Amino acid sequence: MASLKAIRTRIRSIKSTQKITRAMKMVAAARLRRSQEQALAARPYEHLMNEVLSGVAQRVDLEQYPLFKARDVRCVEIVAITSDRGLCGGFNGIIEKKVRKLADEARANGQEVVLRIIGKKGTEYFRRREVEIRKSYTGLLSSLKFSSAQEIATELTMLFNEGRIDKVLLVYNEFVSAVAQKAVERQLLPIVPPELPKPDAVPVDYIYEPEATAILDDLLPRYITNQMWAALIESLASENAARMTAMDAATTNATEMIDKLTIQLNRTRQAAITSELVEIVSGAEALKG
Amino acid sequence: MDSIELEITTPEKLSFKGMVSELILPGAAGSLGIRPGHAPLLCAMRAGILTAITDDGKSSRFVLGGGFFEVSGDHVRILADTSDKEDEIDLERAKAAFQDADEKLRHLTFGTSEHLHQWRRRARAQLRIELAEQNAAKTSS
Repeated sequence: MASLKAIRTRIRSIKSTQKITRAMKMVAAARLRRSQEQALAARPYEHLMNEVLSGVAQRVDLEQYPLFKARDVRCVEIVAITSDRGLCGGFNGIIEKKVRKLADEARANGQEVVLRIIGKKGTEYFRRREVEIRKSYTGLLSSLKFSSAQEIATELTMLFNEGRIDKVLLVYNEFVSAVAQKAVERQLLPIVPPELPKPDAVPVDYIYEPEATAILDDLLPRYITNQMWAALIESLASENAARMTAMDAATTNATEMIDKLTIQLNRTRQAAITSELVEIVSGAEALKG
Repeated sequence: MDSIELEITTPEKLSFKGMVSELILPGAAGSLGIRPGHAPLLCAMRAGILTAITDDGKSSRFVLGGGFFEVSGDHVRILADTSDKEDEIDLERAKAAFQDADEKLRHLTFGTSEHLHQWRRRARAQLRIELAEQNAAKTSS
């Protein structure tokens, strides 16, 4: 059995760990609120963008647009969004697993796979694997800017247009609620036209200024950028939510552990007192005889 | 139907939502005015100034980055890259952005995407400066 001193040290150390996890939980909760607001603020633009694109898509022949056209896939680029910092439970793990699965599937079909990773954690993980990382971004998430999404989207579109990649997949954590995230994959390129919100609704007969095809030329880059941006902010909100949940669980675990150790400490102390008493009593008995 | 519900959205936020009676927008092919009862329209937009006139005759102006807008029924919805209301413009920041973009443009070759990006940035900053200065003159007089 551990000595009294050892148990006391242990309790003290768990208490200080608990202080840290509790503080981290608070910070994550505050950040979560901010990133959740940011994600919500982006929704109106996204909805409108989807509506406009699906409307325009109905009146133009999409096949003539290279950005829509599915072609034989020789090379897939997977864009994975992870986090820069750890201590957020399974947040990065599920993304890494999903990316590996997708990469294995693509390779089984004879396709080449390149990765583009956002976040330090994912980069560290895949650096030790057998896949090629074309580009990785660290520090981008701590102050997330729209221009970052723009830069990534432009680069991907360029690679796609040059024919160096034939398909782009986005893998990230979608924000479901403060306690639930879901790892999802979305095809960024070629573009999958969004579903009409009300498929039965009669499309409005717009006047297009300039004509629909010219509008599409302008619209598509913005659509891709916005997809990227939406994924980034969703992932950031999920990260904070995951960290909050993980730190909450850690704090609870610490409390349980402290309780258990306190009982153990008391028992050990009692046992020590009892055995001391027995020693004194039996010593006294021996002297009597 | 004597007023229009205007929504200005950017990728980062819903920048404005409210009722207006008349709008002047920077369309890609030139400015255009929208009044209630306009035919459904989907239009590309260049960077420029949007003037919204409310029912009581007051007008407020916004500097918009490029984008699109949609007119349908009595709704006007704008998809802009950026949006700044005239009294929310940070004049110092706009001036700094203008200087910075102008400086960078000197070293860039025309026709590159970076040149275009900085050129647009300078144009946007210029619009902001103009509007902010006009606004300052208006409030001080």
